Amino acid sequence: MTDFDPQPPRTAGGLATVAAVVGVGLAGIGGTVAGGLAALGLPLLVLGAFGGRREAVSVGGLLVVGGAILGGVFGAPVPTVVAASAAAFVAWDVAEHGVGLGEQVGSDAHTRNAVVVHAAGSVLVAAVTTFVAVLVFTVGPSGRPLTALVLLLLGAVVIAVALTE
Amino acid sequence: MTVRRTYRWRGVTAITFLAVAAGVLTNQPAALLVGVVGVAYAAYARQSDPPEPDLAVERTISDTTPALGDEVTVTVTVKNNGGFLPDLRLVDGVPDALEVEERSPRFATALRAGKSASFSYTLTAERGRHAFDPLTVLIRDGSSALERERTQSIDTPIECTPRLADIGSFPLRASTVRRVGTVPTNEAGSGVEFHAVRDYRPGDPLSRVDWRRLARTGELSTVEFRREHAATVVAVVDTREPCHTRCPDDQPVIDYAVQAAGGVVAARLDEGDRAGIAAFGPHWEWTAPSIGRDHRERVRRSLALDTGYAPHPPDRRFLSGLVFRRLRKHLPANAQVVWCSPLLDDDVVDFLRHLEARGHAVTVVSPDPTRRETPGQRLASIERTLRIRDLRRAGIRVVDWDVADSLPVTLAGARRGWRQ
Repeated sequence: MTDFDPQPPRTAGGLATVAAVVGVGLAGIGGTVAGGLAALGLPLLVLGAFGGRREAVSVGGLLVVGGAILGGVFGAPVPTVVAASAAAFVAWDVAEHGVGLGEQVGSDAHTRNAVVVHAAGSVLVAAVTTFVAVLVFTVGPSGRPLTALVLLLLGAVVIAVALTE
Repeated sequence: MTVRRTYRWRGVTAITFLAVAAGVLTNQPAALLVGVVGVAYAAYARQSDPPEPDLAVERTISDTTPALGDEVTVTVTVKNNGGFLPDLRLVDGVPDALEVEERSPRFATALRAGKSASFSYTLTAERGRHAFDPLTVLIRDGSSALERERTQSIDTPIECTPRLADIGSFPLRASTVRRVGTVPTNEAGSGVEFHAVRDYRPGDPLSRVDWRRLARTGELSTVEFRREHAATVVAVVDTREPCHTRCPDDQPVIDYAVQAAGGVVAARLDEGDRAGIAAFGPHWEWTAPSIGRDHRERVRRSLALDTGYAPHPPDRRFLSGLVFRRLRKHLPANAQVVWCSPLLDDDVVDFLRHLEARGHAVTVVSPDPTRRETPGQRLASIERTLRIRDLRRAGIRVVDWDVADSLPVTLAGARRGWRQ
């Protein structure tokens, strides 16, 4: 007899761990403080992803993104910071999706396809975004990149808020 | 079909703001660009509705009429007739009374248009008719921001009607019924067992005259044999509330009582008796004593499928006086009663004494569900033993059945006791 076991699938935990390690590694390039903050999030995210703890996953993901932002504040190179944050988003997305799968279908069920397809979608978004952002930054208006980007991004943020409401 | 938001992307806007604020305040483009990633994910979460699904779900069962304890493989196949579904989750409604033996009745996958996927799991068959609960289908979009849920009923019941248990033979009490059969009586008549020799009376059949005695002494005398009769037997399964407990092996004690009742009916039908069954509990069931192959099949189906014999506790109030009167009214005169009960309350002793007093010879087959680990369990066990002693004093036969042994073995032991 098999009881229902609401654990997330291991595939999701594994993929999330890989993404989180990449994120923490990239954030670490931005300095000890940034890397340290991100590294704090890693165990939380991994434990949450394998143990089915949604809060742990969220806090862990937030710490890794925070580490990436901090790295950016301390002047880390643009591509690593953007890639670190994108990896953190992927890690959180896959882990949280895995926790949801665990709650709804459990660890005994066959879930690999669902996990892999979801992760692929998330990675695609991350890759395209990182590529476009870095591209805009490097080949964009070289005169006053920052001001232009601020305006550009503020507009984008407003759109984002309008969209998610 | 319901559509709901999962709200899992709630925090993404806040992170975006945080990144932008950090970037602007420190004049660092890198931090600012993290905001771009946040915006991208916010848009991703917003991007799509979960596609309107067009699914064909099928459930196939390896054997819809399995034998008791058989493994039944259930396979659920889902075919996607609509567009691409990135996240499809299925939760099958396993019947309450059945346990999943292997693998999981749940499944998650991504399914392209026109493709189908399937999963299977195994159940262990239990006595009774088991309907599946509706199957739940959950569909999410790529970002999991929205979730559609719907349920689908697929009517594929599993029906498990075990054979009546083979317990060899089941001895009845000596009785006074007047139909020829196999139950020995203390009356003289035709039969096979010697009873007495008496003076010849005109009209006695010539084959019964003791010719040797005539040759020896010149007196006419007639040999009499012990007369044997067919009995009418009703096996009553006690299904009242206190009888819904589990044996140490975790089987419902009702299952053992039903097994005993079926075995008794089968054994007595084999001997040529009329046999019937009844459920004495909130759900009254009655199959009148009869004979024949069809009747045997009717008893088997009734014991397996009727609510009255179901192993889950009844959802109705039990009106003991009413049901007992109904039982007395239904019992044919002189019918013997085989009462299958764990004997876990005192009322049952009164019922049985009543039946015995009204001329129904009662035999009790009592599967023993008591354990002896805690003081409470030991007390219940002692109370049950005292009840058995009371019944025996009232002239009622009791077969105390430790369910770790088989019923035929227990019966053989009990029979030795009755002979003495």
